[in-house]
Amino acid sequence: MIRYIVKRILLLIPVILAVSFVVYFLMDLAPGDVVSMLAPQDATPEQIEQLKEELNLNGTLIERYGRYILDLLHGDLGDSYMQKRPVMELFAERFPATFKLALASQVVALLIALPLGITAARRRGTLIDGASMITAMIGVSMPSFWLALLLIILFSSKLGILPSGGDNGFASLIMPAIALGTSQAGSLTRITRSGMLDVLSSDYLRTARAKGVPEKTVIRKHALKNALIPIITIFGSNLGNALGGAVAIETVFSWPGVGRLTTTAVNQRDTILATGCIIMFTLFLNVTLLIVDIAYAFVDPRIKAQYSK
Amino acid sequence: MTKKNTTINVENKEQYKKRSMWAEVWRNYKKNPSAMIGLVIVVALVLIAVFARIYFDFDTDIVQQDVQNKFAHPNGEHWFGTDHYGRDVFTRVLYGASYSLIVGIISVSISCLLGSTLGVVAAYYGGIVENIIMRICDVFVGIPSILLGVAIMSAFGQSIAVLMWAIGLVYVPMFARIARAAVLPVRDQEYIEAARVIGVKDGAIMVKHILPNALSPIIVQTTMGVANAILTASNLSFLGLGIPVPAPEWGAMLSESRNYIRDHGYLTIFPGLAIMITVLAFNLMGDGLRDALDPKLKK
Amino acid sequence: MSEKDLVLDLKNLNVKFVTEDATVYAINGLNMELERGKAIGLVGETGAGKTTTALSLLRLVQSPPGVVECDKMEINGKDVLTMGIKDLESMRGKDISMIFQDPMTALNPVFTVGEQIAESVFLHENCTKEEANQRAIEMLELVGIPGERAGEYPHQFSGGMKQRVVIAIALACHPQLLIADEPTTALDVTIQAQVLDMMKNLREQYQTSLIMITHDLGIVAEICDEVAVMYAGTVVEKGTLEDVFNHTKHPYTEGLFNSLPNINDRKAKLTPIKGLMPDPSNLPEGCAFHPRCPYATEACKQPQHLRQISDTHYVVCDRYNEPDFHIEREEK
Repeated sequence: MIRYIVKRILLLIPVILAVSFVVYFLMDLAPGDVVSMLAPQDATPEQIEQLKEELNLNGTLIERYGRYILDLLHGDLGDSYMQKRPVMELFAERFPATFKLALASQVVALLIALPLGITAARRRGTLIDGASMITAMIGVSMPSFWLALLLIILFSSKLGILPSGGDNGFASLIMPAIALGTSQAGSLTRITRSGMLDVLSSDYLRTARAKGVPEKTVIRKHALKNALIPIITIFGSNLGNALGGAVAIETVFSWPGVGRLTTTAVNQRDTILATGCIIMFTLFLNVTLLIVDIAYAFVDPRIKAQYSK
Repeated sequence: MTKKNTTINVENKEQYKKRSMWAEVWRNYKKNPSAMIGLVIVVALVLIAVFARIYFDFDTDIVQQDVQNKFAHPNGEHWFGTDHYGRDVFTRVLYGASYSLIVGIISVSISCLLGSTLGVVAAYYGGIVENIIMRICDVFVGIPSILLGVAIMSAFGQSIAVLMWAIGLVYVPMFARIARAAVLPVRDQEYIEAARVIGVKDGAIMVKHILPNALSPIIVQTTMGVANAILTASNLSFLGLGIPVPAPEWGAMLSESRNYIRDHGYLTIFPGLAIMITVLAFNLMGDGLRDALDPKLKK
Repeated sequence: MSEKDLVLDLKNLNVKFVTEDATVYAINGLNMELERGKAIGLVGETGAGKTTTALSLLRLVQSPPGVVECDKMEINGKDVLTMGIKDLESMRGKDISMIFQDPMTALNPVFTVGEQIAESVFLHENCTKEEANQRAIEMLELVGIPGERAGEYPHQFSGGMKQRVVIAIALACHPQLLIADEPTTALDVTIQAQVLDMMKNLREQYQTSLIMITHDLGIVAEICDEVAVMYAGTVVEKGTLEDVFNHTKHPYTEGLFNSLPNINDRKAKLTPIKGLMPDPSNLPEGCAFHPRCPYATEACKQPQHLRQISDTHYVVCDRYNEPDFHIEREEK
């Protein structure tokens, strides 16, 4: 098991290097020259060269990337052009808010998807099943930022019971989490349903019933633990979607997270900040996927056995 | 079932087969009401997009300001009201359909063509080719799609062409993975070996013998992909990184509406509803197609 | 009748599955009695309704689409038909339990085998979790698996071992009636013999009544006291081993025997039964076997009657109305 984890972590390194190169390269292409923006109007060529060196922008793309990656290995993502502070520091400051939001959205998604998916599977083919599936499909199809705006109209403008923005305690988390969680709930419901259907028709549930296990226990204990396996698999990619979706949601709710930091950086041509944020985002996503894979092994003893080999 | 089949004589059976899987797929598809609703909505949207382009003039009907008439709430004359420049929201929403459809369909065509080719090539050649292609895909899958879109948009600037390429590229790895997975079981089949032995060229084998096996999942993914692409496009536009204003792109309209959300909530409702209905229609279609293409999978 | 100590009394069982496309008549007027401590073999081809019969006894036929109708269904003296769900649950695993056909899928992959055996004990006996676990270990050893393997998961066991675990689950609470649904079909021949041997011993040890569902007449001869031959959802011939094996009456039973290879006469040709099982959504009129029966006449298309041959031997075939009718195999 430990060997497997170590192997996965080692495999992560080339992925992160490649991702950072792609992102660095793309952001380097972005129009708008930071040097001419920051340099005084009457700067001499020497001054400009010096500024370039200060900003770590001298040399070819490969040279610059090489230096960038060496610094990255030391945990240094450079300094933001606009805010004049280390990118890592800015990211670390904002990250907890985004993480909190992404996690809360997953809780919302699970709270909607599990009961809906299980009920749909148990009442397969009935009106309840159909209605659940349409609901799930609508959830998938609804842009989360639009749902966010609708929630603001209803709960902030009309009813005035929830704050429309900022990160001030639990009340301010409710709407962003619902907006972000609903679209996740859609796909999660469908997966729960099909996972549950597979399990419900399985022989081992019949065995459980035949030995007199009450129906409630059959579903909650015997079926759910097996149905959880596909749900956990999707959890990682869902969290990734949540992180991506958080960009728009954070903008709508003025949520002080990394998503808004990134869009602001892109709009201000603060490429080094944007690059750093996207790389860190990706790093976090990949680590999450790894953790999910490991968690998977703990639910399913068959996988665990494979890993330990 | 089996009993009926055995009574069909051989001649009929031939005809039955020749009538092809598409007739069968269509027959299955027709039986699914929600899939048919999806199809009807998509056809209606295409018609709306085409007629809006022909009937409305971009300069006078879509972007011309009429400030005196601004913030007219929905009424008989302006069904969806007017926006902060006094422009008719209903007209703009109708016109916006063309952006979403064009971006959705073209970007998915890009990802479908590139991705399926890569996937089939990877599966066919195997070994190092497969490894390189799939590892590159892993890298791109590792970046949250919106952020990859953000990076591409800010690298190449905002325009509808860049938007289509950005979204198209974002979804390439997904198609590559699906195509590869579908084709992999066929790769080592004897009839492929046989084709190779009689000297059929690699390209021809891939197109004629291998690709058809991946067709069903690719078709389903393409339909669902259009839904995803439309969502992603509107998300990017909402962030100010998609189709530039004043074009009436739905996401961009929503972005503008945010400033007036407190007093003029109707501005928020209609463009979002349009996105949702469009995306829903493609999702329903994709779902229906999946069931129709592979009735065994139907749950 | 009541003087007999019956562990199972089943009268006129009918099971149908109603779907949009068709109604499948799986069981049609099946009767069965089993005395305490006896073993009956339920024999027939795949699709004859053997497993459905077993599931009906446990009241585990999926509904919808399944519809179960019955005049009388008593197990261990309890009326199963009118039981509430609570009583049913306490009956399953305690009064009656079942060994399923495919041990590969019958065990829950995410619980240890010990947990799965102990669960049954814990549900039915008034005991603590520890006592249940202890009993699980004893049961494992009883079926020939070292007790320390209780903490392992199903995927760590071979097919034969898994079937032993399934048997341990079924026997954990010493049920009065055990249904074994082709318990050895999925196993290798050598393992089959071991498992059968073990079942035979355990049955003698616990005096459990047994319904052995199988299509293997050899297994019946080895383990059972009585045989019921099923065709298209009903019993066509029933009797002691002696009755059915040596005084075969029904043409279908004869067909089954003729399909077996004969070890003493290896030159003899196998004579399989012609045709296929009828489609249960579209059963033939009268005797369901008549389209495949070499002795069939027009009269066979009429509803058939139960005929008593001796105290223990029954057959459903109206050709015996003709005084001199006999099948080829009779009186060997």
